[in-house]
Amino acid sequence: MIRKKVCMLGAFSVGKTSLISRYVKSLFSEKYLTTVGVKIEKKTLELNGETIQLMIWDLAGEDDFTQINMSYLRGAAGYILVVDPTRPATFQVARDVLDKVKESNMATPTVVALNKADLKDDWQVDEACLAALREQGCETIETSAKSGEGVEAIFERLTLNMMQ
Amino acid sequence: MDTLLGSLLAGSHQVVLECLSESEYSTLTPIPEVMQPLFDDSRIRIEELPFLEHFFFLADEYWQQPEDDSLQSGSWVEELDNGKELSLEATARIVDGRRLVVLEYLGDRYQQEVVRLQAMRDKLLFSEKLEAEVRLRTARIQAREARMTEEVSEQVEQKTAELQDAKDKAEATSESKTTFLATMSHEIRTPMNGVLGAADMLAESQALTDDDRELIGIIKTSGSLMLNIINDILDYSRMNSGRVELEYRPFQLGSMIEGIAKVMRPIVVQKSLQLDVVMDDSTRHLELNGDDERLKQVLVNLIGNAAKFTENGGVTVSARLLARDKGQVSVRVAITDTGIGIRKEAQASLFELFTQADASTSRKYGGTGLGLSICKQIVELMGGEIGVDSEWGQGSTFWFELTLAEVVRDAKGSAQAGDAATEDIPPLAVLVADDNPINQTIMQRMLGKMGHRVVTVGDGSEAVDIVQKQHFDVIFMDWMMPKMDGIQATCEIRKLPDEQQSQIPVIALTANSMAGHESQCMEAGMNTFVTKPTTAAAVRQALHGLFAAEA
Repeated sequence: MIRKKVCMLGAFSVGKTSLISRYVKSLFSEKYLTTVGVKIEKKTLELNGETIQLMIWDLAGEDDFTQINMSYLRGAAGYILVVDPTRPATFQVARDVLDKVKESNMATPTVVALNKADLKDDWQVDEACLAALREQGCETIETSAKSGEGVEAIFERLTLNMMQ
Repeated sequence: MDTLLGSLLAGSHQVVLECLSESEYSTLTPIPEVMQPLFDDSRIRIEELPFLEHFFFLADEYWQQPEDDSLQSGSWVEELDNGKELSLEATARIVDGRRLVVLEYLGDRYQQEVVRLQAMRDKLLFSEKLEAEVRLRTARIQAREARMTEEVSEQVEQKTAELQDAKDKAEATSESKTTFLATMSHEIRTPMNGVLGAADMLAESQALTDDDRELIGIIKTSGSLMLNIINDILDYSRMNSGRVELEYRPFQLGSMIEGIAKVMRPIVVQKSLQLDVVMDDSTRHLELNGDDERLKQVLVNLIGNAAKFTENGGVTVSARLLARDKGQVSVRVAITDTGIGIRKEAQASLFELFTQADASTSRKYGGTGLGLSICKQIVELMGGEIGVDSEWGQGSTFWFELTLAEVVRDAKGSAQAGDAATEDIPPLAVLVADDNPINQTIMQRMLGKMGHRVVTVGDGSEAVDIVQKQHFDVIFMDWMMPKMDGIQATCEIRKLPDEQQSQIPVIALTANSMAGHESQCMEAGMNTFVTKPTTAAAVRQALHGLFAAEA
């Protein structure tokens, strides 16, 4: 069995924990509970005849008080960079995180989750930031931890990218 | 065992592990009960604890090169088999050369941190959502406003185009109508002259019976009436197309009114009515400068109407002096009858074209409905006002008020308008700035007759331009003009760098005769002030004041 470390990155309250919960446990809660420190979940999946165990690191979101501990990213095979388009400022946070990762020479395949697709009417997409993320090679997938839309797809897409 | 190691071993929620070799650790202290699930006897279940595995990997690097006092893991959460969560923190240190890792259960401290961070982030989220909501609503309002603005603009454009189209059509129709009326009137007038001429010649024949003479009289009377109607139509056509020009000459108000009364009296008396003229001597002897022929036309029309609509009593023509100021006099002329009167609701539209008080009046008394409209146009062309006061069944008073230049006779008895002299003014280069082509023509002819060379322009900016290209001795400047008005144009001229241009005398030429207008003109740098309707006497007087001394 292949084990791969995946880190969930992004601003606080964008839905990183909810995406993992939906993916690993098929659960969703409307209640927001902030993540302190790190929690690791495991998910085994079959892809292209391979059995892969994803070690999904749920890292506390970035804000003015909490900065990402770069040592947590050691050994990561891929990142899911989560953005909440109902909060345009989270695009810039994602961009800053990606820059920091690249500066630390820890860049690996990254997929951007445009989360909360169930609230698409309220999206205010920062097109400039989104374009910059795409220019840096990030694929974007619309997801909703609430409805499950795109959740399997984003983890599978990242896994495929990591396996290449 | 030193103090530090002793203190490490004392914690009740801690277990101290000693690194024996790469990722191989043994416990140095008892394992607290809460942390028992992480261990198999005294061996930590590292393969099931990926975070700790990661930390031990980092610790191996730390043992090689310990740059700090300790290596902190930061807090993490382990989910146990029973579903409970264990919050932990690990610290790597080297104590007395021994490589130790203190594994600590955070418990309440972790929960307190969660609560603290949660509270701060809830606040941040709230203010973020508030800002986002404001942004969203603002964007929606702006989008809605933009849509509405666009819709309104489209509607305005559409309506403007429709109105322009309607205006063009109306103007084309009006122009066609005017041309048609003028053409038809002319075509009817020509054979009518033949009819009346032939009737006149026939009347001189000796071999006529009394019946013949009566019939010829009917032809002549009917023909004359028809000519009057045609003349009215021609007048209307000319006025409608702005082709009527007033001819100013001195006339005595009293004589003019008496003369008309004399002409009209037979018509009035024929209906057993009385025609009186009432005016005091000062009014009677007023000598004015104006178009007396057009005034006679107004009087004939108003007296004729009064007689037409009066069955008993009579018609009174009265005139009185209202004001006299700076060579200008204002007079009011009224024609009062004891006729049927006019209902209030009909009075407002009485001076409109083709309008009579009501259809029954039209049937009973006849008429084209052109007469009062023509009177109104003539009086207004002279800068005056016309109106009616009437009560149904109580008779009517039609009146008009005019301001004209007064003619003053010198010792030799020659007529002069006001106190202006004429002979001592040299030929001048005159610029007339007026947007009204009729006013331009009148001024051109008036000044031309006085021997001056005249150039006309249509607005203030053209005036400012032309004075910099041509020499002018004086400017007659209208006040209200498109693009740039006379006040601003005068200010601009006064600012010109060439002194000869900037000092050109400017005479205000305006219908704005209200109090304060003259001072505004003077403040703008104008030299003197002439009100409309302008008379030759007033123009001469203004020029005399500026140039007589130089001659």
